[in-house]
Parts: sequence; C-alpha cells; structure tokens
Amino acid sequence: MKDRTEIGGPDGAFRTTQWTQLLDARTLDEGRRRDALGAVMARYWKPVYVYLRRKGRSNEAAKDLTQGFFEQVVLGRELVQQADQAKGRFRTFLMTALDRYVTSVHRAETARKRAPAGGMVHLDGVEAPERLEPSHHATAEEAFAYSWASELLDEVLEAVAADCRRAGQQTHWQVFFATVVQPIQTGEPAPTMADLCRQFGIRSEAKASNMNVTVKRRFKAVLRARVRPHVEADDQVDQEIRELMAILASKPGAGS
Amino acid sequence: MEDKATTFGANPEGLAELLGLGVAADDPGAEQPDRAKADLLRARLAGTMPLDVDVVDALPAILGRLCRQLLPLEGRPLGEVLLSPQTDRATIETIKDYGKGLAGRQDGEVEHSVAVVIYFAAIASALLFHDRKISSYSYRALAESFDALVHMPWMAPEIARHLAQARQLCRKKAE
Repeated sequence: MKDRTEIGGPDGAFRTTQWTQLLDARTLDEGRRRDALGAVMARYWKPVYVYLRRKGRSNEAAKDLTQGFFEQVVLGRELVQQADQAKGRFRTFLMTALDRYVTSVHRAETARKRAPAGGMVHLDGVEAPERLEPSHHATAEEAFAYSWASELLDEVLEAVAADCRRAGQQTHWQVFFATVVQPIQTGEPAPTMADLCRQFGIRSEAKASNMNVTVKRRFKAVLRARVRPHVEADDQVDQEIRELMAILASKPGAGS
Repeated sequence: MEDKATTFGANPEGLAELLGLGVAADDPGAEQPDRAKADLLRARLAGTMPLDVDVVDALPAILGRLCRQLLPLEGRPLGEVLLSPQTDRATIETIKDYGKGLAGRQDGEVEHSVAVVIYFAAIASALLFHDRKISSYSYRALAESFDALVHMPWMAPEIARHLAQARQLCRKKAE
C-alpha cells in the first residue's frame, strides 16, 4: 500500500482527504487559496459558528471569529502541530483547535480584528441567526457536535435522494423519508405501511418494507463514504459515528 | 420538493438514530436487527393472500405453485389465516412449505428469521387447530423451537401467544 504520509507533519499523521485538501489550499496562489478557503468554510462553518455562539459571542462576533479561525488556524501555521495531536480525526482537530483559538482570542482581543492581506472571505448565504441559536442546555461542545452531525446528515440525505431519483426510485425515497426522516424532523409518529401503500400506490406492505430497506442500505453507504475523509482509516468510521451518536443521545440540540 | 428539509432543529436523539443507520456491519438493519425483524414480520403477516406478489415472482416455480394453491384465500392477511381455527389443514401445510422454501432462499438474517417464524407458526396452527403434527420434528424439538421464538424481542405479540400455546401442547405430548 502506498504511503500517503509525504505531505504531513513530524509524525506523518496526514492521511485523510480533508488534510490533503487543506494543505493543498495552503500552497495555492492567492486567488485559488481564497477559493479553497471559501469551500472549506462553506462546509465547516456552521459547527464552528454554533460553538462560538454557545460560548456567548454575539451573532456578528461569532461570524468574525469563525472567519478568523479558518484564516488563522485551519489554514495557518498552527495546522501541523494541532492536527498531529488530533491523530487524524478531522472533527476532533477542529474542535480542539477551536477551543484553543477561543482561549487565545479571549486573551488578546485584537486577534479577531486582524484581516488577511487579501481581504476577508465573507460568510455568504449565512442562515438566519434565529435558526442557529444554540440551546440554552447544550454545552458548546455538544452544540458543535450537533451542528456537525446535522450538516453531515443533510448532505447524505440530499445525495441519497438524488441517487433514488437517478435510479427511478422516487417512491422508494418517499417511503424512506416518510418512515424515517420526517418523524425525526417533526417528532410525529411515522405513518403505517398501510397508509403509505395507499398514499403512494404500493401493492403490498411487504414491498413497501423492502423499499425502505433498499434506501436504508444506500443511506448507510453514503453516510460511511462521507465520514471516511474525516478519519485516518476505514476502521475508524464506526468509531467516529458512534462518538457522535453518544454525544447526541439524550442531549438537547443546538437548535432546540 | 417537500422532503428536502434540514435535520437542523430536530431532536438530537433523532439525529443519533439516523447516524445509527451507518454503523451496521452488513445490513442497515443489523444495528437494530430486532426492529428490522419486527417491521418485516408485521409486513409479512399483513401481506394479503395469495402472498406478496413480488416475493412470489422471485421464488422458484415450486413456491409459485404453492402460492397459486392459496388463491381461494385471496385478500385475507397471512396473519389472519395463520391464526384462524377455521383455516383448513391443507392451507396451513401450504403456508408451512412456503415459509420453509422462503427460509431456504433468504441470505439476509432479517428475512431468514421472519421466514422461519412463518414456518413454525404454521406448524403451531396445525397442532392447535387440527391436533396434527405436520413436521418431522419431535414434539420435544418443536417445544424447544417454539420456546426460542416466543422469547424473541421482535416477535409480534399475537404470534408469540400462538407459539406459546403450541409449546405448551408439545411439552404435554412429549411427556
């Protein structure tokens, strides 16, 4: 197996796709670097923002700090040292680095007024602040994990829905959505298979059940594929998912 | 598309439940196999006679013939037929053979488990409603099998009661 550690820090800890992308962004010319930074921020800004809000920052301050965090830490010279300590787990790295960053900013308030030479990359398309108000019961770390998981799941659901459409399995998706996703979103009980058969013209409840299983298998595959770039090895995927589940179980959410 | 809403704002346990779909070893139901078995068993029992057409289409000709033999019961749920004392022995034997054939073809643990239940539920029906053992298993072996199934956490309650009654009968006959 090819050793993919040639990019990395002191112990060659960089093996994940996310690390590779980040380090590539650091070596690009200014224009492309800003584009890469924008892409990274678009993907990861919400958990960071929610964390900062839960730490007591105002909406505007949290947005400024989020931008500063990505500019100074994620793409900054601290990346190598801090990433090594995260042992290849990207989410852990972000969480730890963010915690340190908040501490350092608290000590030196001028840090968040610093602007990069090429100008700030703005958070376009920011969600309405009220939707991202952190729960009063969640810790900053729980809020971060919640937002991280929600972003991940939204990506996976969108991808699975698109897969089902391409495969001509729109009804499969609708059954899965109605029985699995919608009850989670609304807190309402799932419809019965009999109701779904009537609603979608499915011949039998057994067929509807099989359709559900088909989409669940697809969901599983896509979810694991989306988690894989954030960990160091295949056998860490389960661990990463279970850690998120443990944080989320029996905890109030960032948006509740 | 109405089914495009975000998960943000949902209960965290719900998000954990969705994430849980990703940690199954070989099957998305494996992380919660009991739930998957309960769901599929409920679906099979609710499937109307002459049994699930999609399942039948996937079966070899012999099982297709079995299903054609069940045509007179068209429209009645399998669960109702299994649990009715009015169901004739020939029909029960056909359902038993169907369950056995299905179990022999299912590679997935969930599907296999549900097929086994159908098989033994039919044997129980013959014992309870017609006082006939339509299986080559001994009464003692049947009692043990019924007992094992009764204790499955995913078992449908009405089937569990049915199997428990048959277990009682088999234990007496085994003495």
